[in-house]
Amino acid sequence: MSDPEVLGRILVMQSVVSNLPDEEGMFGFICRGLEDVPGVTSVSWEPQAPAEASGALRKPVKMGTKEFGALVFEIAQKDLFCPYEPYLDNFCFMVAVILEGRFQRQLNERQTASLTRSLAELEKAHLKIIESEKMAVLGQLVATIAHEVNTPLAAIRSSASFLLQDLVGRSEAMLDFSRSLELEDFTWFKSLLARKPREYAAGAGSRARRHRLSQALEKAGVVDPEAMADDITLLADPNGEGALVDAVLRGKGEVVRQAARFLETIHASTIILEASDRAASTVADLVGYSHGQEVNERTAIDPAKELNTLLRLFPGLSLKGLGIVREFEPGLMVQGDRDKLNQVWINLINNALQAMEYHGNLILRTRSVENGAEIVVANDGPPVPDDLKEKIFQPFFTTKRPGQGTGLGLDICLRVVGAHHGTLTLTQEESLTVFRVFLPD
Amino acid sequence: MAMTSVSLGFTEQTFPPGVHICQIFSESLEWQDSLLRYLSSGLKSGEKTCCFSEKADADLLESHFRSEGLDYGKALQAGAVALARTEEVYFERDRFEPERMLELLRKFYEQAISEGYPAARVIGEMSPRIQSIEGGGRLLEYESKVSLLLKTHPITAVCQYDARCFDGATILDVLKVHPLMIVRGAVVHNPFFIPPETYLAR
Repeated sequence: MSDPEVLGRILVMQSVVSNLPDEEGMFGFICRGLEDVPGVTSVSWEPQAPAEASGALRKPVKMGTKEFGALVFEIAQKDLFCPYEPYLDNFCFMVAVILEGRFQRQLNERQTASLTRSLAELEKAHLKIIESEKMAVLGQLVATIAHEVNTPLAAIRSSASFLLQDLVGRSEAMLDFSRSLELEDFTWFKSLLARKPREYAAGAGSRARRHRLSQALEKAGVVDPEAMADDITLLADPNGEGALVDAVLRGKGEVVRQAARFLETIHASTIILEASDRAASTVADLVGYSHGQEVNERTAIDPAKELNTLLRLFPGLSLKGLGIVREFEPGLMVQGDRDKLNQVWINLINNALQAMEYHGNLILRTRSVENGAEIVVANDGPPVPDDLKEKIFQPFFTTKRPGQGTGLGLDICLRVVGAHHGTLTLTQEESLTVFRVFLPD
Repeated sequence: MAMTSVSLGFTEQTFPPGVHICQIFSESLEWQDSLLRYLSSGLKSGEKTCCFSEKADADLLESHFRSEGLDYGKALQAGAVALARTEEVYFERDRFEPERMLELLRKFYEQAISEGYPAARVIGEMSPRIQSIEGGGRLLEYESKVSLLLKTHPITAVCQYDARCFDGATILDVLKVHPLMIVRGAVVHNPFFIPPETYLAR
């Protein structure tokens, strides 16, 4: 075989080995291809260096310090083989380059596959978290809606049922009864009907009052004294019950009874109205919440003026034991969405009043601070427990009694203030629970 | 009128009809690209064309031919192109018989010429089952005899071998019986080639 033939074979082998899938295939091809090199008896591949050196010529397939085994040549005629040795050294190096490139490519593929798997798992876990959070919020939402709507609905249903029976059964009898009354009794009956119905008060004191009344009426020979005691309790407070007891004893018990039935009807209607309002308010809260708290038109707002106006909306501010402290910086103006911010002030004031149970001091403060303004709504009622300080800002979380809130108020506040690029914080400052709103300039 | 040179489709080189080429491939795309270009090039030059493959199907050929402006259905009907499974043709009666295959190639060429085709070409992908089937040990003898046959019956032939399915020594042995080989898309003279007269005399 001539020199060009040997060199040609080496060149072709270099090209073909890169197409072969594994080391075994590559070296099988190479060994067979080099068998015909002059002077060579056989060629084999040693993946690892042998423990003992043999007489064969070992050509390492090596790149830098990295060795991929060696080609082992059995040489019959060294003088024939010698001229090709440098070419074979180069060839071994080229094979090592191919193997190293393949190793790096496989490493990259493994790393890419591993990263792809990790990414897919991460994505899956992320989706799972989102899904579980969604489900948790949905669960809270459903529970809140169910409670807030079911409670008034139960009241509406019960009152409506009573009204239906009462109106059907009694309207005729009521008319007959009115017609049967003397003028004086009719006038008194009318005055009783004009009274505001009192709720049947619960609690030990109220039960004791009815029991006392019932015993007195029984002693006086009144028929069904317990029912009459209930009717009198409905129509009058303890100061006014004496006049009604006298009237009953004078034989005017039926007037009291009929008036009480009528007021019961009015009372049931009132319950229906209030319960409907409560259900509607819950739905309005949820609808408002779902619509987001984007800031609409920003205008210059005098927060002191707004707070003073809003305070008028709260009933019970004139109660004994409740003090309103106003510390307003004169002339302070903020930029914002008036309606949305008023929602914040209303929620914060409402929360404060409910937390302090309308007893103690409600402190409202406005002042300029660096880069903005600060509006504080504080109260000296019971502090918010440490473990609830974060939770109270979560949607649907509430410490209020059922029916008093959806648990959305502070979340709405956070979102509105956030939409103004401001902050809302809660701190306990000595005896004061302080909600502080910062609105930037 | 017989052609004096043929285009293979996957290289700009041209060759006299009757060249015997070996392609060692390790990627399906490489295999498919050569196969489709070779077949459509044959049809375009009016040659009778035949393909033996386990992987190529009518859909693959039809869509490629359509993209080349060729009508596969029409060519099939006219007998200008034929597609068959390698194993059905090479391993009839579950054994490999070189003589039968050589006879088949001879007849294919003679029929092409008698039908007026200027040339004929074949592309066949060898099935790895050749390594285990009865008569499979005669593969190199067969390939060498193909080289001899092509001297009198100049079918242009490309033999495809999947490097993932044959061991390295077999691949080198296969090279020894093909005068030309494809290296990185180019057809080169194979320095390992042993002329059939020499090889068969061993």
